[in-house]
Amino acid sequence: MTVDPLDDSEEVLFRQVHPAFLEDGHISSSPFSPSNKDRGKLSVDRSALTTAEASFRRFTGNGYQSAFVVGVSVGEFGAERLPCYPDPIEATASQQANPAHAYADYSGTTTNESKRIGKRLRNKALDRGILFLPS
Amino acid sequence: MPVDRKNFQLRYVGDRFKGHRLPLDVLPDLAAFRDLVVSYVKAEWRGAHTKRERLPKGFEKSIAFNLTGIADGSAIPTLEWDRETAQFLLPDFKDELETLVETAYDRVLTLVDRADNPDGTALLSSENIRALNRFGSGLLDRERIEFVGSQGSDGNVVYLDFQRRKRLITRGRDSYQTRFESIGKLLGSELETSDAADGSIKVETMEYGMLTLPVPSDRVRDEFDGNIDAEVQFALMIELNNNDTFRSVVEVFDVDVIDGAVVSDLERCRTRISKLGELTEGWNNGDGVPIRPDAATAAFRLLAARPRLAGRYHIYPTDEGGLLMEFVYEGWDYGIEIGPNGAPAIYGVQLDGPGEFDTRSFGAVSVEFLACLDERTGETI
Repeated sequence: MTVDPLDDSEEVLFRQVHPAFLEDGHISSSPFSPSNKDRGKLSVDRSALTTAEASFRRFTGNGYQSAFVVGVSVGEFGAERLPCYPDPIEATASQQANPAHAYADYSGTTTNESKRIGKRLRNKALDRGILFLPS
Repeated sequence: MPVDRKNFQLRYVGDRFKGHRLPLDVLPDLAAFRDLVVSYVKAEWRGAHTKRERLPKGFEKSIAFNLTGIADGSAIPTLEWDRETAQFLLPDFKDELETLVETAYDRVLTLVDRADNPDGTALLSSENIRALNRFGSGLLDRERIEFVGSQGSDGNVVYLDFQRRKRLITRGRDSYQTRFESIGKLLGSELETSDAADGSIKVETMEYGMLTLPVPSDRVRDEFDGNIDAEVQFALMIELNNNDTFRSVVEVFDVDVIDGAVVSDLERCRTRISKLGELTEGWNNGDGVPIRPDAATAAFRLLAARPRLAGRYHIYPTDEGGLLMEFVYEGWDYGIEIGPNGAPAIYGVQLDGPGEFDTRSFGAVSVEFLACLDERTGETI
């Protein structure tokens, strides 16, 4: 079944930032380009379906570490020629369901290109600011 | 090897020399090139005048080269043999001298052309070696000096690069000289008791252990005394054995206690790298391997080589066990990704524009990598 890409360019997609990618208020560009395990799909959560805080709670509730939540819009991914697709995740024995899950598709980019894109998207996310910071 | 005998042109090839640029630190090459030619002129003279015990008075001064310009293309300094000086100093020998200079230049070309042939070159005199130890000493990996208009035995232009130079100098010898820039820790200083003598400082280096650097006594007293354990930055000419182990310090070009702010930046970076070294298997939510020692060592080498950039770095781990050092410089956002094996790659994007600096990968934090970094940042210390 063909899934249509997200088409609201204003919609912000939430991205979790691991504490190791944070230094003195600066964020690495690594969270903004897929790692080898991601196979070209950068996981995000849709702001149309969840909040930054709920996204953080679900992520950390599944046992993962996150320092805070930042966001990149569908339009900003699109400017890098990265379409974004909805990708809801069903619950498993160890993971909560995540109907807001989506991904940015980097499959058309090389590893080197995705690293440069990661820098630009990181800077966009920094311009937007931290969307949820646990107290 | 047909060449223009009126002018000698050396083409400097490499990233540093693009755009018609000739870095000041290679200018001593030109004097060394002249000395190399002169060393052969003297040998030719002695061969042609076996009954004369000494060179004519003013002989060496008569062989003067003038830098007449830098031609277009890569940096091509043009040197012209000053016939008027020869005419003035040695009027009776001017024509012979002209022939000798031509022959000597041919000898230099032959010498360099046969550098890769272990049996192809006669042993070098000590005078040849002294000149060669300076000529091309600032060349980095993948840089070379081409002798414009020459043709080697393979049909290509004759050139001198780091490896050829090393082979030439170490043929029949067991050491060669090269430039060495880094930082180290000041372990101590000494002032000679005799009035006019120089002092020295002892510096612990990551690359060659403890080095003793001759430094004028007044500098020892004013700048280094009382700064034990301080970080010092230096640029040296050192002598290495054929197997690249340290032998001696030949010359100190520059040595300074590093600015306190830079020391603080270096300490912050080192602490960060050490802290990241504590990451364990699966640190990134199940993925991510620990930072590999080779990656950390390469990062420390980079800090030592270009300490003034330390204040700009933000350092992060990579899933593969490497390190990502990100920094902003004059409107560009750069990343230096050091792989788990210590091999760096550098890339970047323009902050307020569409510009991109495509990834350039290197095998190590080498002079070649540093030259690339310098080209992007303008920081050479």
